[in-house]
Amino acid sequence: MDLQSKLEVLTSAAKYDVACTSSGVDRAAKDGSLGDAQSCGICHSFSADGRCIALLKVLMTNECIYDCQYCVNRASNETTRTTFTPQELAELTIEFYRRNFIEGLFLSSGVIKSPDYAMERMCQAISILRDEYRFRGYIHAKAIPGASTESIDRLGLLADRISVNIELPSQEGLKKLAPDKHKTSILGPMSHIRDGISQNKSDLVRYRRAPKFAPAGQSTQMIIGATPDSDFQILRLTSSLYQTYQLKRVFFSAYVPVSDSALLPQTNAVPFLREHRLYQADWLLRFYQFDVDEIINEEEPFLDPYLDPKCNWAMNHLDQFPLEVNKAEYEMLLRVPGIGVEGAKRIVRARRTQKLGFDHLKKLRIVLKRAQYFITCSGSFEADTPFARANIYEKLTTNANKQRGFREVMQAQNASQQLTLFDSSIYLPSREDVQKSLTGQL
Amino acid sequence: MVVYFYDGSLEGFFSAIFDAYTCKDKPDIITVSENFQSMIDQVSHYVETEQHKYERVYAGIIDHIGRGGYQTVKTVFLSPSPQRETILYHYLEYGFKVGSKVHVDIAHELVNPVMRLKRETGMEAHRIRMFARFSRMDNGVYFAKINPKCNVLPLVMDHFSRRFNIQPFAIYDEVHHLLGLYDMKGWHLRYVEDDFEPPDCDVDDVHYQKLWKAFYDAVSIEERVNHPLRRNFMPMRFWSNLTEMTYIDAADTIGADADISERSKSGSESTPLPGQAYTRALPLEV
Ligand code: SF4
Repeated sequence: MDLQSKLEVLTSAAKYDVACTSSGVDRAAKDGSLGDAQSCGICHSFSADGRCIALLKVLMTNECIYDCQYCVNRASNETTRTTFTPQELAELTIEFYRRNFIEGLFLSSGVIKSPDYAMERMCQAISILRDEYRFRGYIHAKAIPGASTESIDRLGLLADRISVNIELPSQEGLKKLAPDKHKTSILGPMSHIRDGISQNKSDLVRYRRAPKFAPAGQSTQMIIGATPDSDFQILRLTSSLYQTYQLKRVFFSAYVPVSDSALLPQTNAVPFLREHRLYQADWLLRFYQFDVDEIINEEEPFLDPYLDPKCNWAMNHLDQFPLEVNKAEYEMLLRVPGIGVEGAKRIVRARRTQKLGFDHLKKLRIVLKRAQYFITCSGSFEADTPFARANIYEKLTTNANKQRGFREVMQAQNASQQLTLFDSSIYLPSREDVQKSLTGQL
Repeated sequence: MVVYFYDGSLEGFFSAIFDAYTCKDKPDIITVSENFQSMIDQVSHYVETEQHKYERVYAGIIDHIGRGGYQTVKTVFLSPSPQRETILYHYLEYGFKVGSKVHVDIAHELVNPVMRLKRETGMEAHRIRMFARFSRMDNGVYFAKINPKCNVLPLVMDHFSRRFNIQPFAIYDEVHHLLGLYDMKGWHLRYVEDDFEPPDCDVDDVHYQKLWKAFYDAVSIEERVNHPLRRNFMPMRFWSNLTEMTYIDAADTIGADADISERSKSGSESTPLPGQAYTRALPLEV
């Protein structure tokens, strides 16, 4: 098979993995070496689905001895199989990087022969990049469930970020859909990586030259909608992954039907809105100082399709609003729907020198569309409706409706989609919503 | 209405600021003569660019507003806004008065416009860091053509020359006719003629362009195609210089190779995906 066909096959096989970011590590350039890494991360392109392309995201091979039902590469699926040689892949990465196409490599692999054998192939490719080409760009590698601690250690020293995908949010799900994987074969490597990272940090304190172990941390991904697990379960797990395993990021991937296995939901519906709401909730956990219990509970185990989780919280705590922007604590500003982390910081900074009115807020680029219902400026409340629950609810839900143009596009795109949970496609995320959940300014 | 004309350089602009403090007529407008429509009650003052004026103003900025202030001025100066000089003048005047307070006073009417332009210019520079695409020429130099709204080449050369320090490269800004050159020792900028013809790329390079395009198409998830979202993040005005948006496979159009014509039959020709039809039709639009 020629290189182009290989690349096409191994890219298509990798594209559903969304845990792809180039951020989290600063590595300055060095004379005589190619590349550097910047903690903010740089996207280089956007594919037709609007997702950022920062890294060359491919599989080492799509051969796999496992048979995970939700995956295109499962052993029982008839599909073209191919494998990169380590040299091929390293060269391709370098040539793309030199042309400013990418920030680096995102490498994952099917389980060829055995987890350790597959990991070994990945390590070979990466060590060609690091040692022969002296490549200083970003590398994110996936550890394979069931891999030995030795091979994880090796990978951790070569890559900036390593991660193990949880894939399914519950043990029953795993048992049913990924019979070759067990809770321990996933969580084992995860805690080993966590310990490697913290051990490494203390080594670095003692000797500065200690080699760095996964300096950008670890992340994981969960597939949404392939199993009956609720948002409550997913978010509880997410929050404990942040706390217990010190993950940098948990990604959610709406299940796109790639298999007609009887074990999977037989529908063309892709739960985009659900995925979107989960991301919003995830931002609240990571950057807005929310506890998981404030976002969701067991009695109502799915996030509200009509309101984003931040609005939802605010509507349930109207007694704490409206908030005076000139006085409110930073932590409370963060809880105002429509005011993001940057916005809250700008407010705190600007109000040191003058009393803020609504005009100032506009100058500070605070979007008032939602915020107006929850704030006062120097005592005045200027929303287009009185401060009462029913009125605000009405406004918030119809505002979302107004994004007609975008909605139609979304509808066209999801023509086949039957939102079983949310029967009307009116409540698809608005364009602004989509952007916000990508940038995190909720 | 007092109008100051200067030569368009940063030195010239600082000289104008110097004059504003030493001449009796304070400027209402500072501008480059070419883009200015004269007015009836206009009093013109032609600024002479002088090194000592530049240095005085530079030192003044560092003393009163600090390095950050100087960086701000330098960045905003690259903005295409015709009001940029006047806006900067008011900002400096205010900054000289209140000192480093300008950095927190971001909602102030004299500071806010500067912040707006700074953000725009910074954003544009960032987009060039994202979207510049190099191809390798026969002589081993990597070449990129860019078309930014703001004159951001000076802001991105450091980034590229660090990252790509092992390869000589050139970046050509076709809007501002500016060429940035890096020769593995350092970088410099040069203005070029309007009819500057960018060089041809290496045959080998076409191979990688083709691979990149193949990757670009394969990585997208069909069920999630979302053109407005893509355009939002990657505005169409950049597409003319993006390999993945302009590359057209010669074999695809000729259909010479059986294997390839097979592929285009099943994929793009009979039922083009929205994305493909789109990108093919659009390669040259700015
Ligand atoms: S182990 Fe990975 S590649 Fe193999 S079937 Fe499971 S998810 Fe797919």
